[in-house]
Amino acid sequence: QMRFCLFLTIKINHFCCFIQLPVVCQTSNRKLHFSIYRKRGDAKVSDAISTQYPVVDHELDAVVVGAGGAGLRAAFGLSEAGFNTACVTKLFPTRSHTVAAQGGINAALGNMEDDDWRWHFYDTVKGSDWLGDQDAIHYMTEQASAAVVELENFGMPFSRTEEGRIYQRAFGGQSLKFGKGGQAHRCCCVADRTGHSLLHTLYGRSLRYDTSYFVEYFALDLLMEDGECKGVIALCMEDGSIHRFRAKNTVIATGGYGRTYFSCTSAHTSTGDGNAMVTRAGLPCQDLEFVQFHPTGIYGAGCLITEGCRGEGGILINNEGERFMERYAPNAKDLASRDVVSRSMTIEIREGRGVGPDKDHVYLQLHHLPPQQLAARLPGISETAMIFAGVDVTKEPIPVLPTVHYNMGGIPTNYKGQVITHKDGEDTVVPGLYACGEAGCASVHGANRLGANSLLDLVVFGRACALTIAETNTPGEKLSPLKPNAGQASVANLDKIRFANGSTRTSEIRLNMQKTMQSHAAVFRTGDVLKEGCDKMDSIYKSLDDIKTFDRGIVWNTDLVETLELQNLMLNAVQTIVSAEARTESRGAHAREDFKDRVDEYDYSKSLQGAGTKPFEQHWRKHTLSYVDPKTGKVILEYRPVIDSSLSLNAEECAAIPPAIRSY
Amino acid sequence: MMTRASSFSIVKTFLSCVIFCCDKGKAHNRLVQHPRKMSLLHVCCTTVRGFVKKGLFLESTYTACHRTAGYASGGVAKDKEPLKKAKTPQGRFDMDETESKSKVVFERFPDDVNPETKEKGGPRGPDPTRYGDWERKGRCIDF
Repeated sequence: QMRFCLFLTIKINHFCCFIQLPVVCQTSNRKLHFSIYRKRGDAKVSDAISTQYPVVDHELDAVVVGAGGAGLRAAFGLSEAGFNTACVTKLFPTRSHTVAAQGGINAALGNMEDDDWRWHFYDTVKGSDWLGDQDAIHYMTEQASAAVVELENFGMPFSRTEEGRIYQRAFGGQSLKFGKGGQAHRCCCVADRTGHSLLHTLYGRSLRYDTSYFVEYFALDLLMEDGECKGVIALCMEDGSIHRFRAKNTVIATGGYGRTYFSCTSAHTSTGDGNAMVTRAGLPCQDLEFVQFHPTGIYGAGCLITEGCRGEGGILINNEGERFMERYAPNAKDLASRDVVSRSMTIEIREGRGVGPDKDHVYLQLHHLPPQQLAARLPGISETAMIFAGVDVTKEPIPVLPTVHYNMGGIPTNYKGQVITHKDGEDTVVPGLYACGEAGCASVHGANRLGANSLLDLVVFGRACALTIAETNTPGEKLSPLKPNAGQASVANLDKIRFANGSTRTSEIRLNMQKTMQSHAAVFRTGDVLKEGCDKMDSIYKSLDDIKTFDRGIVWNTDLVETLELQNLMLNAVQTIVSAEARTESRGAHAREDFKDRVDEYDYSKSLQGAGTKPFEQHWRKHTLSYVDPKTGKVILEYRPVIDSSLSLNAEECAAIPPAIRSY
Repeated sequence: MMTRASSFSIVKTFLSCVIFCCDKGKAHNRLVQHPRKMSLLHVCCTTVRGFVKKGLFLESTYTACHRTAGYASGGVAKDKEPLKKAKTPQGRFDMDETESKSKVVFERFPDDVNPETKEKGGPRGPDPTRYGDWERKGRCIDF
């Protein structure tokens, strides 16, 4: 009897291994969704574009390109609203660069002291050097508390005070009472891994809904017809098939483009794919010249060394062993502000006093400090220096140079997340296209981003895109017809690169571009340096025609994907340097030696009584919109005014903040 | 109901008997010459086989259960030495196993509560924002 029972249990166990988990029907939206395989019956294979590249067509309600913080928030916001959503990403969601954002997230919750979102609004507007659109900033700061509470309800384990409220610390230039009330404590964090935790929380939450993930699909281009975005065409890296995702709504959340520079903190995958897709579609990108630098990033590794090193007595030296900061900032010396330090370092390097075989960086010396003090005040720095620079910090100096950290510019959107262009003096919405996250430029960061605001930007605008789409569309709407050969140009480009047989490799062209950008479009910007850089970038862009690739296959062809990424990087790089050359003022992160002042419509350093206002063409408080002709690499610039009115018409609720001189 | 140990031991004793008989009789030649012994061997074998089948059958279900139970309780194969992987030559950045690991740089607060700020679940070590940027292990994370 026992034997029979045991026999039966084994057989049942065997049987269960082969049962497929059931696909839950989609009408019940409160139950747990399981859908291991993609929705059947939606994908149709056709050879409408070419017989060599069969194309798989998908029909959806919404497509999100990119699965970082903003992309995931948009994707599951849309799925929650009932839309048939696909998330197309070239990386697994938890590998996106958001995972590296270890700082905190700002919100005026008022847990440590009395706080008001209007003060956060003022701080952000001031931080952006009055280039940020005040309606978007109003939207973000007003929604901040709700967004953080929502994340916490999703399960993100913020650190707590004794009473159990979210603990907030002082960070990122935040003040109380419109700058007059001292330091504000607004930064919420999850131990030391806020971005990692955010991404994992959002990914886990998104699995509850019925989003289809297309992981390791490289988005090639937007499918545009008559100025309307009708979807995305992507390459599946795993098997080399081309997929067209037709949808009425496309959200771009592809991140920044740090990899255009030689030294950056971004992952190798931050290649500005979304910006490039939008550029190739004939739409503009906004404010790309505003790139945030940090003075002391480790050479070759891209990891930043804290300012605390200099605060504890560390000094910067050039190849003569001289403490060069004494010449540039006699009083503050190494403790001068970040932009002064970055510019001084760059001038030293340009004048030939850099260190290393290429003389392209400087040294940060800490070995003159007592080792016990170093270990006590800066625990972990010896480990960091050993791992990333290979130096023993008690004996050798650390090689450093100014490093790119964030891109304030991106795809222009309004505060709802809809992509806009500027025609006939008016902002017009591009139907069917949305952007959020670092790829979008709403613009909340303006000319300079404040710390801990970017994570907030991700979740607020990711949610905003989802809400806007849900307001204006219904799930299951019939799609407008698309030309059968839509996306043909992208596939032709892919084919051309796959069989490219020129003379220079992808890696060589990429290094040329990165070195040029680092030496010409970095922190130190003057007219002739930028002009020289523009000409060099022009010739490097033309050298793309002579590229050579080696892998002719189609399955997991990383050579092909890196070359596509290089094309995207080039488009971003030329727009950055040409916009920087054209902007003859210093504002926020864009600082020029030959034009040191901020040029607004009024001169805000003097009294405004009876002052003449400069016409739009003569002042610089405006957004740059840059278009590129992909064949020649020629950049055309236009300008669009900054939105100064906040969202509410009621001045008591939230008054717009008039520009003033920005000093901290 | 037979326990695993007892069934195993029974099988073992039978097998040892068979082997003993074989050794004693120098199996191959003697089997031919001594049909009676062969038949005895044959009988032994069949009974052992029958018993082994039953025992081993029970064995298989029991071992299946106990093997997994063994893994769960942590004792895999107590009588064997764990397999050791051959080590590659020590590299420049390799730390000896005896040296302190990086986790000791930031020790846990008691109950995960920072004694000065009373923050629960916050970053370990000194306050990351003490220099104006967000610092950890000498690295600047955000500014």
